[in-house]
Amino acid sequence: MIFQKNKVTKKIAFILVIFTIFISLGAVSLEAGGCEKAFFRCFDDPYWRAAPFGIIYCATGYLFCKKYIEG
Amino acid sequence: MEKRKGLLAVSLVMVSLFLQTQFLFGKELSKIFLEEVLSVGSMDDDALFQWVGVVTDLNYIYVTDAMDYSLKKFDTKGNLLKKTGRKGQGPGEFLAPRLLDSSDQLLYVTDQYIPGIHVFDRDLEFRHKIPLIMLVGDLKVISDKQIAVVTFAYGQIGKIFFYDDKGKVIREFDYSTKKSSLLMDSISFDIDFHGNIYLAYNFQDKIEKFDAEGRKLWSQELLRIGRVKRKKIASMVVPTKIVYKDVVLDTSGKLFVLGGNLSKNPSRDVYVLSQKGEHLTTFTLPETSHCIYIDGQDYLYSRANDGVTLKKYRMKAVNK
Repeated sequence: MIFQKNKVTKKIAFILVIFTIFISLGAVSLEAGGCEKAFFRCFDDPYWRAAPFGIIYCATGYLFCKKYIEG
Repeated sequence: MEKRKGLLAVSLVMVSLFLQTQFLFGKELSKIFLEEVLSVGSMDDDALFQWVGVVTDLNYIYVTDAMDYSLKKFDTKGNLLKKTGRKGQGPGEFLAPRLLDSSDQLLYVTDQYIPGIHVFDRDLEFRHKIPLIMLVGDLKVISDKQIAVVTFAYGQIGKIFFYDDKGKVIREFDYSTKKSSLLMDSISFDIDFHGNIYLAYNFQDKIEKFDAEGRKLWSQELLRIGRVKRKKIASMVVPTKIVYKDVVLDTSGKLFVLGGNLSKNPSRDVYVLSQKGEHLTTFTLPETSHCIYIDGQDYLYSRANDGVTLKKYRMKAVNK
């Protein structure tokens, strides 16, 4: 029972983390092309556009997304 | 008669040398099978949430856990012994812990959003931070006094920088002199004991070896896919498919390259190359992974359960 609860909690936590990564990158879903959409929104975000080297942060996020999240 | 004996002896020596060379460089390697020997973290426990980097020594396994904002230490049976770090930008804190490498004494950790390299001892006590101006794309610790780094920055694309422990550039090495876009020249790399540099481009079908003086020794295209498709996003053109994800050497000097989206089995195919760049064999991981790591005993580590689990495999080589 405890294991079952742990499993469910962990699954939810994992989904939340993936979602958080995408939210932080500005994405809304994990569909195909998700990393591109996230990159577009990051690039389009006034905060990152104003930040020094903002584009670098968007690009590193895109690379991590491509390596880690897109199979 | 004496002449014949001499010729026979020379022939035997030559055959023996040839066979040893074949063995050492693995030209006849035909297949690699994986046998799972350890699994760390599962959906039923809280050992790992989303591991990213891994490094080992004889007694311990060290892992960065992105979701837990931490660096973790496990014993060889996979029991969590200690963890350090929390969300933040202070000493020993992380926003997104990523790459991990080690020297004999220390552990080196990068953060996706914080420039510089965090340095910990093997008890996970924070020691200091190597101040770098730019974010780190990949790193290889050669010694505590020399760390090779690829950074993300305009004007620094196509270069590997060698920093000392204070963050001062000792030397730099150009692996690409072409003016490419920010992502096109991003690489994963490894360095052997002789200082030879092996690199795999993330968005190009290109694996290369350079000697310690920076001379290119060979360049290899394994997939023969031509140019990777690109897409214009906002005002920037970006590659949409990742070709190679990671590159690592085993103890005999064979090169292991993890393929990306364009491999037959995406993010699972591992290409094995000889020191001379010959493709020896390809094997497939049971699950997709973002990286591969090979320890000092030639055990291979990769990801399972989307990062909740770290798997350790014995590599069984079958020679022709």
